[in-house]
Amino acid sequence: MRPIALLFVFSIVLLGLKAQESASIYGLVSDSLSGVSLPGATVYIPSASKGIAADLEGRFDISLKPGTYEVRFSYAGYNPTILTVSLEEGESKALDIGLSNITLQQVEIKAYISDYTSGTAMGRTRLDMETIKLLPAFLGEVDLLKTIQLLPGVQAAGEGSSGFYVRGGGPDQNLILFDDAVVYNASHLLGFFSVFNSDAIEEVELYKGGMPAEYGERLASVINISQRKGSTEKFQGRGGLGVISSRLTLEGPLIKNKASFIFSGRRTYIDALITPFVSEESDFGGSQYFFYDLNGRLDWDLGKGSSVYLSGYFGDDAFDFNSPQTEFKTNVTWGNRIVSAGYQKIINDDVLLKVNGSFTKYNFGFTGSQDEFLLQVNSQITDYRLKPQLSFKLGNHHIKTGFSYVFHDISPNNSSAEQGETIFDLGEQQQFYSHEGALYISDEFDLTDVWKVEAGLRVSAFAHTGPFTRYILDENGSKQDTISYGSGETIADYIGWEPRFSSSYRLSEKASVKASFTQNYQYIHLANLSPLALPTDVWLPSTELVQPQLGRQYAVGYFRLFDGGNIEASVEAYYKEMENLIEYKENTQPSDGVDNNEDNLLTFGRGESYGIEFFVKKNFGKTTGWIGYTLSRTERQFDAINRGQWFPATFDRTHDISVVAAHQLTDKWTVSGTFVFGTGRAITLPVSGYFIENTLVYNYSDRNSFRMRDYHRMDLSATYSTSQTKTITDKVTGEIIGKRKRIQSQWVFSIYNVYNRLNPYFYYFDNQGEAANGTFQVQAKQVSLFPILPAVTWNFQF
Amino acid sequence: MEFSILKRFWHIAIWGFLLVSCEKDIAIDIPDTEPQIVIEGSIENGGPPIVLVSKTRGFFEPTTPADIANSYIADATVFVNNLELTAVCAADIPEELLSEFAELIGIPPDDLDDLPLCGYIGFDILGDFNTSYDLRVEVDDQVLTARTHIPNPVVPDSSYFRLWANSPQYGYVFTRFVDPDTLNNAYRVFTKRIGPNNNDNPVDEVYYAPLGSTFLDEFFNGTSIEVGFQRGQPFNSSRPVDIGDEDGFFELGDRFVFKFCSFSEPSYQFYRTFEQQLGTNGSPFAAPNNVITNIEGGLGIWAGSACVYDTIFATP
Repeated sequence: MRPIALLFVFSIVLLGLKAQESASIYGLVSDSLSGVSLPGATVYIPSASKGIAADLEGRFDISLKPGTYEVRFSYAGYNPTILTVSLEEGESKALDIGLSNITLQQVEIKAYISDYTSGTAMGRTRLDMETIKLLPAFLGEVDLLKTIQLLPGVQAAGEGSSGFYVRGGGPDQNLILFDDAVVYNASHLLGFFSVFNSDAIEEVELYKGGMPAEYGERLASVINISQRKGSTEKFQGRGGLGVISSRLTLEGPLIKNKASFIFSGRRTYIDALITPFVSEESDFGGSQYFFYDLNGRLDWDLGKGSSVYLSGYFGDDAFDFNSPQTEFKTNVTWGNRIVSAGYQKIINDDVLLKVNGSFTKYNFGFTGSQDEFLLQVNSQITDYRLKPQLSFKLGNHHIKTGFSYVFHDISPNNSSAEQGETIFDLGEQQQFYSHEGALYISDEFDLTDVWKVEAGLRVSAFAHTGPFTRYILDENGSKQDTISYGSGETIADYIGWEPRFSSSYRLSEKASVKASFTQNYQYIHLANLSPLALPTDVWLPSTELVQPQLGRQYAVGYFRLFDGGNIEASVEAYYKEMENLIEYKENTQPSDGVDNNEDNLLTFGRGESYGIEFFVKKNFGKTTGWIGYTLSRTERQFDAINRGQWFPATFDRTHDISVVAAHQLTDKWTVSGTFVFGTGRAITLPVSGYFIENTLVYNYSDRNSFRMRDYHRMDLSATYSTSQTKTITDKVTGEIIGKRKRIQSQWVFSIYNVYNRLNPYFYYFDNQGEAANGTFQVQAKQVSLFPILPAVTWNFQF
Repeated sequence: MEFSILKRFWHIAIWGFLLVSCEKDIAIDIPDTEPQIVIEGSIENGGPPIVLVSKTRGFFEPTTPADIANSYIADATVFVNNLELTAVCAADIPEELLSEFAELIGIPPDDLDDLPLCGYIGFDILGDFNTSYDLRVEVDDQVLTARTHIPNPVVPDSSYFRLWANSPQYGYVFTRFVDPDTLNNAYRVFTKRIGPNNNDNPVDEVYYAPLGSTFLDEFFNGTSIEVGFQRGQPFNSSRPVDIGDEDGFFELGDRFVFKFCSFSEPSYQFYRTFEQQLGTNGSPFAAPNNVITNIEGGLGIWAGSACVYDTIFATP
């Protein structure tokens, strides 16, 4: 590891010295209307033969000699802009450029074509919020995670759920980053809504394969979500009134053209809407549910290519059951607290330094009482994270290097219980402390004119440390002994080598083949007691019992552009193998973790997944959209489950189809639709039964040996944008002129499940009657969640 | 026990789902599977061993009483501690002994009229404290074995009726006892309404285990503890007293027997998973798990238990 660390330090020193020009231009490229920054926008100075792509936040910084230059700004879908700039010795000039959107047939797309065919990226997709907002949304709530589910290789966790699985990976194998901070539970209301307020988000980037060395920590995917920066020009706002929630975003300059803020809030009013319809005397009288989230971000341009930001997210779900009809009362809350801070310095036009530090806390709390009995359960995970990274160019080589360090503090399922004066002995509270770090370096370079390679190495390390008490159990699960570890004492440690490789070979200007290999280690794990992802699911670190998960993914693909780059098409095949996956042992109950180590309840196994993904996407024009199809297989094997036999994962989906289309009918009307089809979920059903105490007992089949009915659904939406201008009479000239309205608004009409398909959410067997009197019968039932659901949302912007 | 409060939360969540969902009958093609032998056997202190032997049934096989009775096996050979048990069929039992047989196998006598099954009783054996009992069942070419143990009894200090907070007439049964200072003492409780009572509630003909009847001492080992239980009632009961406001409650004026049993950890595992399955049937949140058996070569339970009885009047 030492040589890599030295290289990182040396690189900073060496490349800092490379800055030799005495003037510079820097700034932000953004959409002139919305203020949304444009990552990847090209900034080019022909006379100096210099150019740069704006970074992920739309920023650029180019060093130049004193003189006068013509600077060209361009971005796919926007009118190019040319500015003339004069620079004096030592001058650093800020250029914040707003590009205006144009019809996309006019776009210069050479750069796009070049990147699609010659870039090494595989399994990567970037979606901006403008695209996501055009698509139909469940109950009108725009949800970026649900849009991600429409991509090939990504499968929804269930009806209406924002949970997802990527290429056969489990729900814990997706690393969700929000301004570089980890989000552990990205959903509200048992998964039906994601925690991300669409007005606060700029874009989302998904890596489902060919993961660059700068990313790790999870086996399946990285979802990198960037929060919007506030406008540095003027105070403005946007918001919306929806069926179940409303939102408001305010943004503006703190120091004009230097510092900005943006704050967003969203809250449901499910509680207020439902309360009038629930009688106080009913079982649900006195009960309520709501969620809220708050986002904020401060940005400060320090000049000379330096900038800092401070970003935060706070959100909670709260459920109260407090019926007057029963003594049973419960309060359940769960939520995330995220703070992220970053510093960025463009050292020169070839060198970029980024440093991020973040804090993440996810908490789940349950309080239940009945009569004098009181039970409290609490799970919590807290991360402190630091990640510096240096990107630089050495000739033909684009190099990224850096390290990351995370301190995890995890307390799963800590409980207390009392009845009257009796306090139950639930043992020591469980607390797991661990340190996770990684060093990485990657290099993207052209091997020949048509052959490009990105090679990287990530070396990760993990240590579980004390204080900690290990309970040693006998074969019956009874506690036999304990081992106590002191503070800071290392209990288990691991090192993982994670080579990364991807390559593209250009067959022509418009076609290429690509291949990639990714090896990942994952040191923290999610243990699910239920087949559905729930806020009660427990995160656990690697310990001496729980080995790090290991994943290897091999992928090959053919990429082709048609219609001058307007249509992109790809076929990707992948094979993934996973080791040290975790599951709870069969028949485990939540209370089994009390006065015990949670990891004593686990069993370990492996998995594999393979498939082929077809993707056709139309990028530009009045009609845009895509069609994705995935043919895949995902299986698991655990010695202690299903008699050691391989079984399909619950999210194994043989066929998965998504069709997405948006069409601009007129200047004011845009319509869109989505259609999804997926093979039914793999489930376990009883195959026979027997009677004990005159009651039917189910004898279950092999794990996941049945399939629910296939899932399919169509959603439609129509967006009406009110006129953006009004006509007024010029007081001086008397002419009738158009003036931009102070408030612009949109009506979004959406219909979820247009043809009212009753898709299965779960199956169960209902047995009624009594055997002795001949009334006994068993009936299979299907429960479906959402029929056709129309929604209207009013969005505004000022 | 009260940790079933967590399960109750999930029941509410499920009902929440059902409020916004719709449900329909469906047909599922479940392939035939090879039947397995099922044992339901028990031995209690002071009582004879009694064993029912049956086969698993296809899920959608006919469910007339005759069909269900036919799944019970009358020609097995059953031994407890190498002594052969006597096969006794309900149809052959004299009327005056039917209620005693019904009590032993836990099925009401009225039901036995229509469900003429056969069981095996060891008339020469009486269960004793701190004694192990080996079961051997021979059916066709199969041999099933199991071992159970009747532990020493734990006698509650007191058991009593108590009105629940806001009710003027309904309540639960509570018991206070001292758990022995050894881990893995397991308990199961039953209730049985008896006559006469002064509120005309129907009497129970057999004992019923209430919701959360089975528990282990893992959280209160060696301490004195008070635990409350609902009234036991038949599963899927359609009796008016089991589906109305009185569901799960005793009522002032009731007279009932509270049966408090100690048993071994393997038996606890069976009844824990049995009750867990009853409580989570149909829940999308629960993993579908089979009931843990202690029968070698088959399914079901061979359970020894040390029971004490207390008759309680439901008074304020």
